[in-house]
Amino acid sequence: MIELVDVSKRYSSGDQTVDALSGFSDHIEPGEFVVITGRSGAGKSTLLSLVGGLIRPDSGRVLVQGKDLWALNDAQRSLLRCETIGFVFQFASLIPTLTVLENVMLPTAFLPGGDGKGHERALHLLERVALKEQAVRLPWQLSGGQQKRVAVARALLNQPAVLLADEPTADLDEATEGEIVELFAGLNRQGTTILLATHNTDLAARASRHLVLTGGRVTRAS
Amino acid sequence: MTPKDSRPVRMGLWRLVAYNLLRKPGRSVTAALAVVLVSATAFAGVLISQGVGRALDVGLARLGADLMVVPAQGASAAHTALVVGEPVSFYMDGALAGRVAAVDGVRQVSPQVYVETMANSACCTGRIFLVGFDLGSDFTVQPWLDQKLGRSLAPDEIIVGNHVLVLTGDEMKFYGSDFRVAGRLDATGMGMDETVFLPASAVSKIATASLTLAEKPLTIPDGQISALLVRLADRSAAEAVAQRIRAEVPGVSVLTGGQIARDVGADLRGLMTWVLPVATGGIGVVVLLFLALFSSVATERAREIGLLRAMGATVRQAAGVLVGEAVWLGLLGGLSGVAAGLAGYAIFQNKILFSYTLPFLWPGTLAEVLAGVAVVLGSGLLAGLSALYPALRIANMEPHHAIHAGLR
Repeated sequence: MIELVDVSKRYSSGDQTVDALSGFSDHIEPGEFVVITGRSGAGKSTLLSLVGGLIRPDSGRVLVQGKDLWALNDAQRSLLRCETIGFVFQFASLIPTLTVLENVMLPTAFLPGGDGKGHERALHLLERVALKEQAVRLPWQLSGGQQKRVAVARALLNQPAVLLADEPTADLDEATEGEIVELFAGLNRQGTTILLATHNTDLAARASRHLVLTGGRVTRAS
Repeated sequence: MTPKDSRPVRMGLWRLVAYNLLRKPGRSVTAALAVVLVSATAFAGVLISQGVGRALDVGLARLGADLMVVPAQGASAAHTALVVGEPVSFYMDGALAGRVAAVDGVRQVSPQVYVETMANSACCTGRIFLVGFDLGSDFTVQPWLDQKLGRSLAPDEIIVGNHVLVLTGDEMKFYGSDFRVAGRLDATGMGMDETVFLPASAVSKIATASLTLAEKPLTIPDGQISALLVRLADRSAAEAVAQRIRAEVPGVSVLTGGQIARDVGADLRGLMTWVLPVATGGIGVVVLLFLALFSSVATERAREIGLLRAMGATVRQAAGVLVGEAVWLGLLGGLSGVAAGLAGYAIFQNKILFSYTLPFLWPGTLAEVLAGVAVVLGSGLLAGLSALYPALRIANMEPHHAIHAGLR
């Protein structure tokens, strides 16, 4: 499903360079639920961005469904992202000028031709995250937890095979965090491959695999 | 409202662009206003240029004369009268008609007498430019009379230019003498629209009657005329014949169609000396404004662009959102500018045209629609191009960096 082969990524800022990921290799099978933990700056977000093709590795290869992301052109890579990968970010990632429903439907805008069922599926997903009644509200009218659930619904709209979640439960109260985690567990049971980066080591208990990153390297795997 | 009330929608990039504009009305209106100013100036400039050109074409063709001979000191006033219908009066010896007719290349000569009526007097309908034409030799008004009236003018009848505010059958009073309006000429955009035509013999009668009927009598020296309209023989060149008349008949000025067009062109350039800098300067300002605005918007919305890329937008689609917003702002600003230019022209039309001695004839709805469409599309294109660089700069960032840049 996902294969990373000797992937390295280094950030430079002025004279300083930081190895965000060094010689990382891994193979993630379809339907796996991988939790990645580590301290801030350990390389968790970078790893998810590399898997999602949001950033180019300095060296190594990233393959998703057997396709080398950086052997594809921008249109091919974008289409792969649109059809195969859903992202949930740590921060409020909704477009402020769009309603909840429009935000959830947004990924269909990039699907060539669309499938004409975006509206119906978006309403279904909003129902699933218990926000259907908020569909015509704007993001600022929702709480942080509600916004996060909308972002999850949006990530699922194109029925991606892979869900990449970067600190999806950060800044959420315990109850909302539990709802989100349950949602992910349910998706995983239905076959969605999930990579979840978090500070919360308790979430590792829900994972099929747990990677601990330190300084851009895997220091523990279970 | 619940989603049950909402119609099924299809989310597309244009919808995203539209919502971004509609839900940020303050920013949208401010940006569009800059375009309004430039497009209004550009459209008004195009409108005036086209109208002046059409008025010259139609007016000079309707004049029907190849040359106009006036007293040397009357050349400038004659130009003003011919172009904008400003009432003038100047005179020269009527015997010059024979000398001009004898010049090689001249086929026909017809004298005219100009009278400027009084504005605030009980004896006159208002300040109007009267042109007395010779029924026997005229070849400019007479063809129209033959075609439209099928007869010549009676001694107490007049023909009015298209802009003279009377109806056929109305009475007008000049120096105490009453005249009936027999017909109205079609619009030319030039001075004849403001002119009243009557037989030259009637002018003499007005002058005689004015001694007893008018507060201030009309004085036209015996045997004097104001202008000679000249028709050329076949294959004679206007400039060459004009040159010969100037040489053989001292004390006169000769206006040719080409000369009038050149003079109007010079007056138009005078107007354009401020229209063009305003329009071109404005275009520069709009380009800089959109560059600055969309650079700032792109930076401010880097995270949003990064998110669109993460959702599957290509570089072209992500940049297209920002460029699309700019294009719409340009189109809407351009459309408003065309409306503002039209309104501004309607309000200041007379002031502009009289100040610069310019003729004007509405260029036609099709021509104006085309000009308006060109200005609107040009505005959209200009705005889009201005936003292209900042949009591409952000869209080409790696989405990871765009998303995290937006967080800083």
